[in-house]
Amino acid sequence: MSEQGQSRREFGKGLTALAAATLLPGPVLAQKEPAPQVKEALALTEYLQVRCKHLTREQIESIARGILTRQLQAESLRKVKLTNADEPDFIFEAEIEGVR
Amino acid sequence: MSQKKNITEAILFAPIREQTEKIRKGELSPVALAEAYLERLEKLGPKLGAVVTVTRELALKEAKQAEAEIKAGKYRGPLHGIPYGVKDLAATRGIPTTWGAEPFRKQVFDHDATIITRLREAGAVLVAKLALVELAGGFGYNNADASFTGPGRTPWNLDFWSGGSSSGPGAAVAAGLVSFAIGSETSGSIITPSAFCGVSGLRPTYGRVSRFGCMALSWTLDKIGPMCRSAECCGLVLAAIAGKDWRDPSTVARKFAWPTEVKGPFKVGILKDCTKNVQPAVKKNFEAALRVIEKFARLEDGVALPDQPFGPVISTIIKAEGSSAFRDLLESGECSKLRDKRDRTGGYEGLTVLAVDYLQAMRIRTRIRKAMDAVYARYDAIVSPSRATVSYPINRDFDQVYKGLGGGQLVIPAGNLAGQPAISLPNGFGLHDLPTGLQFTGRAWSEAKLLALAQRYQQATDWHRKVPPAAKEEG
Repeated sequence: MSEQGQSRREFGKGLTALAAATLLPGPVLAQKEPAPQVKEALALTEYLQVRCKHLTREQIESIARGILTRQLQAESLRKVKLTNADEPDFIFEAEIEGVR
Repeated sequence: MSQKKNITEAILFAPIREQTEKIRKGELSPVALAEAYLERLEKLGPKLGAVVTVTRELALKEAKQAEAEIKAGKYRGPLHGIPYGVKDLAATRGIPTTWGAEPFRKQVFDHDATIITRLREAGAVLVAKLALVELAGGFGYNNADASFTGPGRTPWNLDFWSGGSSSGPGAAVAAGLVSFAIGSETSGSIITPSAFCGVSGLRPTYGRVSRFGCMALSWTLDKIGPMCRSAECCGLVLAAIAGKDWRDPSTVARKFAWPTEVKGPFKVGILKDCTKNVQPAVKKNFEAALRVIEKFARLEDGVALPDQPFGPVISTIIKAEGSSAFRDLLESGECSKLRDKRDRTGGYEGLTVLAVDYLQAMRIRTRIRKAMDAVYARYDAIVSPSRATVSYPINRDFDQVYKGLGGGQLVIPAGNLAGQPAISLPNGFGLHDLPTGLQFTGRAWSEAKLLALAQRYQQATDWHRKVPPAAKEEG
């Protein structure tokens, strides 16, 4: 097994432990598989590791915790029921200010 | 002979209206006033961690010009000859604009922000670029020591923070280092330092004041506003800086004039549960303030904000927009030069916000704005404490202090998401002799009403006229 693979597994365990300690509700924790939010946070952290190679291991761990927290927030927002007519709170304008 | 010696403490701490009357009558020299503030900025500014750059040369040039114009009968209005400081996120041509952050310490723009241009046209005199939390606090700092200028200190007790992210404007106004200051708010950055420093700070409606030339943290949330010694001062400054600017497409051509015609009677809602989970002195001072307010306004208790996910929505928006605005900085690794440990990594999460999650937040925000307006339409203002606690000690992480306190604080993210205005006013003192504040919040474009209410409160109280001990010691 590669060192990177080993790291990833350990890292995943760490995030799951963090989630267990502080963030996820009981029923989610009862599952044997890592929660979907933990898997998502791991995937997004891997993306960052590729994109920002300068980040240290310690920094990545700190960022991963933040990403996990944010994934949980995103989950709560996804539960808000919206309709097709619910537009985002900004407006595109074709006119360029100051040009005419 | 210089008139500097004639500048008494009473003049230095006087509201703009009193200073301007003396200037107009020729009893007070703008040059002498600028010199007096420059001296205080150089002497007291570093102690408070309030100053990035003292603009001595420019200030004296502008003050001399103001003095000559006034003598020649060309009077520009109430800010003519009045010295001010600006949060160091507003571009000033040829003078460093650091954004409070080490990676931008040597940044110099070749243009002025619109607020600088407008204040110059009004005849105001720029005496200092004032300190701020690095990058306006968008990366989640957790300590007062989060700027390359060191921690901002409130002049009421130097062991405590001046608040953020407009830390320099708060401390400088409170300590009499400037006549007024310009701050900015994305979510709490004018209200918090105004409360922690005991000054009057106005967060205008989104779109009221041009953001052109100011550092972007969140394009849809950033607002520029005045921090002053009184609500009336805020009105005078807002009148000078408000208005449409084609370089900032969010600005709107809505009229704002000060003094206002708004006289009342007023109907003011009291935010539901706003004194739960606050420090006892915050509660006591707020209740005392209500007894003053009820003399000129009809109060209605228990006004609830709509049940909406304010925290997750604003957090998603700030993270996504902030990380986009600073993507180059994040990807370069220059973030490691930021002062606060959490700031060095806090921006990276935002790079992983999915577009659909950001849009989900912005779609919910539309509902929030409408729901907030439906509540606020029933009142001229809603009142609550500005903050649940007094300021934080500078030597401890924020999350280790005042645990469990935070009543009513949703009004800050809620109001910012809705683009609504707010004003924070001093209303007494609490732990460690630190100031407490109350805030009036209102519907979009209701600044005149909020300021009129605030002015009535300040006509009946004198909290805004108190002078902090640190300002007296070496003044």
